[in-house]
Amino acid sequence: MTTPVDTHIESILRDMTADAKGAPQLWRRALRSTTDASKRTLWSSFMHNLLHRPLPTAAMLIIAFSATIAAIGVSMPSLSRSRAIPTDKRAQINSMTVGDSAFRHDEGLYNLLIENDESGKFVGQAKRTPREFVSPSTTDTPDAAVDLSYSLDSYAGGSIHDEQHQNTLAGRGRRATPSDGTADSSAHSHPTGLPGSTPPTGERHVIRRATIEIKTTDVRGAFLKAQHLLETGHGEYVQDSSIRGEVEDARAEMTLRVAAGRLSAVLNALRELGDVQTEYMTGEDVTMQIVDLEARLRNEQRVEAEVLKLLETRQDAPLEEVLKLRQSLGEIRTRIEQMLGQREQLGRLVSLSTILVLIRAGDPPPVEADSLWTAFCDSMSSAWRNGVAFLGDVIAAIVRVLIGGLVFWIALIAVIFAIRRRVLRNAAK
Amino acid sequence: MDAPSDETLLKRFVDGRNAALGELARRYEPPMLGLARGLLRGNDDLARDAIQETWVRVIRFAHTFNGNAGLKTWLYRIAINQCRDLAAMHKKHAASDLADESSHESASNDKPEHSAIGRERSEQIRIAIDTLDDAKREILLLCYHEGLTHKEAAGALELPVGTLKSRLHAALNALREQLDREAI
Repeated sequence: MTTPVDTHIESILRDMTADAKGAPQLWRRALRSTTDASKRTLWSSFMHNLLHRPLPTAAMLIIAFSATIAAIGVSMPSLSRSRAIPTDKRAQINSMTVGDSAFRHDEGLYNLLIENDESGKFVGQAKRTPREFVSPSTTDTPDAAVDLSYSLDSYAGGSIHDEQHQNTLAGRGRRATPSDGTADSSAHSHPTGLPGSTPPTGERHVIRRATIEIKTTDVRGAFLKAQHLLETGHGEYVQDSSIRGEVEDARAEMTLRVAAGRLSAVLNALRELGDVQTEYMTGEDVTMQIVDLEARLRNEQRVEAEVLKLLETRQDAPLEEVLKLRQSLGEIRTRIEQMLGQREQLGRLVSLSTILVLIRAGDPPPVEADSLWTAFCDSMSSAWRNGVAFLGDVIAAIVRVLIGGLVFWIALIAVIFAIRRRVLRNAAK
Repeated sequence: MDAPSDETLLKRFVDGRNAALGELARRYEPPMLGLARGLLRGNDDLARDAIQETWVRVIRFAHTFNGNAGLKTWLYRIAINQCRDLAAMHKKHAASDLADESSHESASNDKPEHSAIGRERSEQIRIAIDTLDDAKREILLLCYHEGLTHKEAAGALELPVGTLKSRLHAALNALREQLDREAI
C-alpha cells in the first residue's frame, strides 16, 4: 500500500528519468565516429586520448621521444672519444726487433736496417744471427764473396733494405781483414779517394748514417761515455753535441763521426749505455759518383799530362800558342783540383760514418701504490669527468638531432596540428 | 505488418543496414537519455556523451551480441556502465552542478499532485534523492524509470530480481529517513 510520500517519491523519480524530447540524433554521431573503425582503431584511440587526456598522452610521448633520442645518442659512434693511438713507430719497431741477446751479448757485428715506408708504417723487421760486418769502404784486399746469412724471423710487410744484403746478393762484397780477428777493426783505414788511388772494380762506396735513441737513468754519464768511445787515431771525432735538462728531463744529443769499419763496434758499445728505444741506419751509395769522378779525374790528368808534354816539346812555338796552352793547362788544373776536392769529401763521408746519438732520461721509479681512499677518490674523479663528458655528448647529440631534423620536426608538428584540427572539426559536427 | 523485433533490427544493422540502427535509436534513445540524465544528476551534456558512447559500443560490438539477454537489457546495461564511468570521472563537477530545474521537469507538468504538494516539497525530495549514495540512488532511478520493468532493471544491473527488490526497499527506507530528518 503506497503512502502519499511514496507516490510523490515515485512521481519525482519518474520525472528525473523521463524520456528526452526531440528526435534521436546521438546514434548518427556515434555512427559517423565509428565509420572506418578498422582503419582508425589505434589512431582514433590515440587522437581521442590526445584530445581528451592531453597530460598522460603528452607524458607518454615525451618519454618515448626521450628514450629514442637517448638510444640514438648512445649508439652514435661520434660520441665516443677517439683516442690517439700511440704511434711511436720507432718504439714499436724497437720493441719488436731483436732482443737483448742479439744486440748485446752476441759478439760480432750486427747490421740491421729497418725503414718506415712513406706512410710511416713499420715496414719490416729482421732478426739475424749476427755476422761479421763488412765495411763497404774500399780496401786493398782482393775481391771476396761476403759470407753473410740472414734469417728472417718476421716480416711485417713492405721492404727490408739492407744495403749489405743487397750487395751480397747483387754481386761481390768485400770483407775487411780484421787485425784482431773481429771485423770491428776492419781495414777501413784510409778513406778512399786519395789522389791517384784507383778503387778496385766492383767496390761499393756507401755513406752510412745511423741513428740510435737510448733511454737511461744517467743521461750525463752516458753522454760522456759515448764521447769516449771514439778513437781519434782513426780520425773519429764528435761533430756536435748538446745536453740539457736535469734528471728526469735530461736530454742529450751528439753526432759522432766514426770510422766506417768501427761503425758496428761503436753501435754495440752505445747499446750498452742504456735501453735502446729506436735505431736505424741508412746507406747512400755514392759509388757511381766516385767512379764518374775518378774517370773524369783520370781524363783530366791525362789531358794535363799531354798539355805539359806539348809545352815542353813546343818551346819554340809562337807565344800566342804557348799562352793558350798555359791557359788551358790552368783550366785543366782547376778542374782537377775541384774533382779531387769532391772525391776527397766523398771519401771522408764514406770512411767516416755518422751516428746520431739521442739520449734521454729513463722512466721515473714506480710510485708507491696509492691508498685505498686515494684510489677511490681518483676513480670517482675519473668517473665524474667521464660522466660529464658523456652527458655533454648526449646533449650534443640531442641538439644535433633536434637541429639537424628541424625541417622534419616542423613538418611533423604541422601535420599533427592539421589532423587535430580536422578531428575536432568532425567531432563538433 | 508487425514491427521487427529489436534483435532483428540489430541483425539487419550488422548486415550493413544503418536504418535499422536508426529504428532502434528511435525506440530507445529518448528513454536512455532520460535515465542517463537522472543518473548523472541532471547534467545534460554528460548524459548525451554517455548515450553517444553507448551507441558507439553498440555499433562496435553489435556482432558480438549473442541474444542471451534481451537487446533492451543489453543496451541499458551499456548505458548504465557509461553513466557510472562518466559520473566517476566528473564526480566533482556532477556534485557541484545542482540538478537543473528544467531537466527534472516532468514531461507532464500539469499533474495535479505537483501543484498540490508544492514545489518546495518536490525540491526536498529531489535533494534527499541526490544525497543518497550512488548505489541506492541508481536502484531508485532504474526501478522507477518508465522504460524498464523490475525484471529488466535487474537484468541491466546483472542482479537477481529478489536482490533488486530488497535493495529497492532499503533505498526507499533510506530516502524516507532522509526526508524525516529534513522535516525535523
